[in-house]
Amino acid sequence: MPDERLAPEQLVSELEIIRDDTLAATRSGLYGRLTFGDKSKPPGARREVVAVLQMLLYPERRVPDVLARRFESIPDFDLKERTAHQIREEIEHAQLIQKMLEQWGMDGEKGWREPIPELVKIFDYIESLETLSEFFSTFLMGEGLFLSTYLDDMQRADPDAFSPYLAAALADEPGHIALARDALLRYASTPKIQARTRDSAQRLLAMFLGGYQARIREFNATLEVAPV
Amino acid sequence: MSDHVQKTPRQFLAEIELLKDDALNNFASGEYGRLSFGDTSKPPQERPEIIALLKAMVYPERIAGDILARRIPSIPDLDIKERVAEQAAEEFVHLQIIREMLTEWGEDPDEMWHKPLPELVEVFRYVNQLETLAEFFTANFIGESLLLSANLGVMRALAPDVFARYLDVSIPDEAKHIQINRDAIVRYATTTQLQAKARDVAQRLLKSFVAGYKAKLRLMTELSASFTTAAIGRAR
Repeated sequence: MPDERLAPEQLVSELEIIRDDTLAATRSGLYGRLTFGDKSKPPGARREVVAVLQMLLYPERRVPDVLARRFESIPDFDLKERTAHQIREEIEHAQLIQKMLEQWGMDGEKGWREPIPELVKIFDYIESLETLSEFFSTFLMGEGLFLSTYLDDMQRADPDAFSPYLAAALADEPGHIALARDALLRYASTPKIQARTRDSAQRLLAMFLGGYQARIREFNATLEVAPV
Repeated sequence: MSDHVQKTPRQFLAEIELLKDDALNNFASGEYGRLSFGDTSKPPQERPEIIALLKAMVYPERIAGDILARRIPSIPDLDIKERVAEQAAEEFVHLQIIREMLTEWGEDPDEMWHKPLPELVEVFRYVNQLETLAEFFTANFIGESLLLSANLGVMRALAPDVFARYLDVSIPDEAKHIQINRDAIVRYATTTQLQAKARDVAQRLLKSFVAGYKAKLRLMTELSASFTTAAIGRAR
């Protein structure tokens, strides 16, 4: 019930269950699947690999700015320090993607200059959120799904093709999820904030799925194959 | 060379380095007063000069991270952005060390976050509202260079054991931060107009830093005097 105060741990568990259910549906292929092309070819010669990296550039570049704008309002030093580390790590991921694309003779900034509109809306929404609890709820959902729907699939399919970006991102993302979780435990403290946090988390999930489907659609268009 | 002549960014950085070196010479000569840390036979927690200085430093270490983070979205280059984010994280490490030291000595670590020296507030208010990246990084270059040499270096020279926990971390970090500022000035102070604005900022920051330094000395003297008065009162 929205008016009933839960222990923050209970709220986090509730959100994680919703996220994991969404993840299971995504894994079933309900919303489409990424493909990674002919593994016998070098990664830079595979449009699938290039398209995935170009698509991932936007979130990796936008997240640090979103976090940086929120930074001042975080009252706790330990969370501030961890947020600053996350900002640095996300920028490093973006740099790795751009370098890989440029080494393959591709436009390293295309995914940043020409993002998928659904992705832009996700980050505009996150920036508009008023409370820290709502803000970090979107990271709990978004980072968790990002890790599982993109990075894990890439790791299973062809880790070498996406290195060094993938290795760095896989190492860092669990820490980002843990930061979002710890921030929620700290800031989702009243029934009113918890209700708003539940709403923001669910809205982010819906938007993430929209973004995911848009990425698959764009991805397939890039590859000139039939839409999923 | 006139201020209005176009310089390469590296020439402009050299000019700002000279300005900073002149100021450091003035600090070294004692023109603005000298830091001193009281009776070395006493433990640090009984030396008001040490307590006063560390308390005064809480505000800069705490506000710097916020100001750096706020500037990150406007930095176009990923390498500079990344280093500034790392700097923001390091400022909080420094802050935590100072707060731990003060807490262990039975002091309120946040006393001067809530009541900071007005001169220090003014330094950071000014830096925070600067319009261009050339101005912002020039201000940071002056401020951090003077902090490293005129404050941290002196603390290391006069009371190395007392401040070791803080200085062992902050001195290497500050040297790195100064290098970020140098690299950013070379990247962003690219036109005559930007250089003119950044030059004005450097001059103003030098004055603000001196005012902040004198305010710290004043606080150290005041706290020392109040300790002495209290000790005399107890003796009577």
